[in-house]
Amino acid sequence: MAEGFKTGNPFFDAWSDAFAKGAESMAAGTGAAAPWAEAMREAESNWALCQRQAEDWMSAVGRQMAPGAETGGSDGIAEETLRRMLDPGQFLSAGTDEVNQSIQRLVEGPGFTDLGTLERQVVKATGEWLALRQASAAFKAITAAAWSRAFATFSQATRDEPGILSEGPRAVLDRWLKVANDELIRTQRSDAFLRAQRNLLTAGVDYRLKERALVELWCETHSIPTRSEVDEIHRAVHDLKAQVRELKSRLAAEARPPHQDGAPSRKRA
Amino acid sequence: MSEQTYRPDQAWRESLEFGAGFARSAEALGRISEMDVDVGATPKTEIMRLEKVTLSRYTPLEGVEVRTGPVLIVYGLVGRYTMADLQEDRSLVRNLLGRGVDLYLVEWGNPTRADQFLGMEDYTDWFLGDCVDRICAEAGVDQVTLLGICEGGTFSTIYAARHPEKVKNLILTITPIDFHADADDPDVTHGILNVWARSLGAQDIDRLIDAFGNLPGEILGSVFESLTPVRNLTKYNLDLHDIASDDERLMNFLRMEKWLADRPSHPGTAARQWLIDLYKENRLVKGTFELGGEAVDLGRLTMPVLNVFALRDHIIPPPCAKALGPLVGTDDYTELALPGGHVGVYVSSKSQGIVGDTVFDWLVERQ
Repeated sequence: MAEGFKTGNPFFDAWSDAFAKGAESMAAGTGAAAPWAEAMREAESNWALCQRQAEDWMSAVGRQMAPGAETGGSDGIAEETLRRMLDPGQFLSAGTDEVNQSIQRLVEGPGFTDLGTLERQVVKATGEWLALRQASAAFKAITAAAWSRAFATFSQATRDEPGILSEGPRAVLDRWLKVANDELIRTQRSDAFLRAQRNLLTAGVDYRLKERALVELWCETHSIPTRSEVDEIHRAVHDLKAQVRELKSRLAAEARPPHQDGAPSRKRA
Repeated sequence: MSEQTYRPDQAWRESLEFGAGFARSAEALGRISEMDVDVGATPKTEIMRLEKVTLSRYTPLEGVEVRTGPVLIVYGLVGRYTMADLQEDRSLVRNLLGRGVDLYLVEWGNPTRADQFLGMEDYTDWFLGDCVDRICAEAGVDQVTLLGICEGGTFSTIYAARHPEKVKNLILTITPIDFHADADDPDVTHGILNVWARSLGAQDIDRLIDAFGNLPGEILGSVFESLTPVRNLTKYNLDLHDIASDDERLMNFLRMEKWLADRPSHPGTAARQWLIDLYKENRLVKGTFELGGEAVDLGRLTMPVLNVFALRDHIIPPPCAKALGPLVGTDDYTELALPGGHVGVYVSSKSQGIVGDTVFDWLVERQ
């Protein structure tokens, strides 16, 4: 079983192991789906642990910040916002997962109810679809590790400077956001993140191209123009326009008196 | 854990303040329509249309004498020119018009998959070239000053290097020239687009564009959003809450959001050149970037050059812009370093006056 980099942080280490296994599986090709499935289950379980950790912390600290909350009387909205912002899932929408979401949106497109349904289902059984799912999970694993690191930093800060908690939920929230932002910016520039993002992008593109190939096969069977054929027409039109432009330019140059040509050199002292 | 010092009454007060703030946000947003969030509103008249590309001339402000030759604003294909004309009091366009600059604008429109084969040669030699020719005819001159913004600055630089006889002055703002110089920036948070592009293989970029025809605006938008990751979480709750009671700040916020969300697709061929030839392979400064079979020679930039960049620019790190200095073929090269970030050059009230005055004074000296 693959093991990732050990930090002593149980959450980070578990994620790291899951990612290392994922990377091994990717290297081994689609035949290695079984260890991946295990890694993804583990990833889900660790994600849930991250969430529980955030909830437990919030519950404990929330009582200190606003004891009335125990009776449901004075739970501030800032506190609720803090609770939400501490949710590890928020890291996925904090810029980090933007590329992931964009790719998923672009890849999946509108869900047609009839046209090409069979083909869409077929393509979801292919290695490209599996690879996309795996790449997305690996990407989330990196994000979860970032959350775990940020949370460790933040927890340490609240232990080192307990006065933060007495400043109220908004101050605590601002502190968490600062820690989270710094960690995300660092993570986004890390080799592991960039590699995972690249894998996700290529997996999304491969899936999209595979799907197109299957849909085009269906189109050809039904004598419907394909995307590739339309692209060829666009290329032909573009090339023709360039030729017309070139021709017009040449005719205009020939019609111009010779003295209007030439590029003066104007180096200024 | 510390002892509790945050009292229940404080929590109540904060709770009520938050509640009132959110109510104000909802009320304020409810009375603002999309039409109210007007960006790029300075009056202009379209004078030419080429495919989806339009050339317009800004209407001179009433009572302001035109004191310069024609200046053409060239934005890139990444995003929209409206950043330079976000609102009346934060508009480089209005600033320059107010000082008497004769201003034109080229807009690239909304490229679709039908435009996927348009390359940088098309955008510079064809579209930009035709715009320059038309302005010359309109204004009765034989040269135009180019004012390039970001990727539009790179286009302007390439056009000026290929057709120096048609460019009177070259003004660049936040323009990347050396795409690997982010490594020289001491601020490691700068240059995420450089880092992202280099993390991809050329084949990855080719296949991405093969799959979508163009570079989807959403992909670039998501890379830009990752510049301020946590802000994406807070801007529609905390930030909105904080500014909801201030109409002016709220409208500024909404205008900026409108600009950020407006990300057209980048035509495929030009995107391959932008990401592979320039961002990955850095061919422009190496002298190996070719258009129409000819290498673009920055030494042919013989016209006066004003290079404006921002010291805290996360998108175009200052060294990427400053790299132009030693490469131009003119001694009349001026730099203006501004204290803010990428967008701040256009929307910061502090930068506005500096940019407007500097560009205008520099231009007037070179008429």
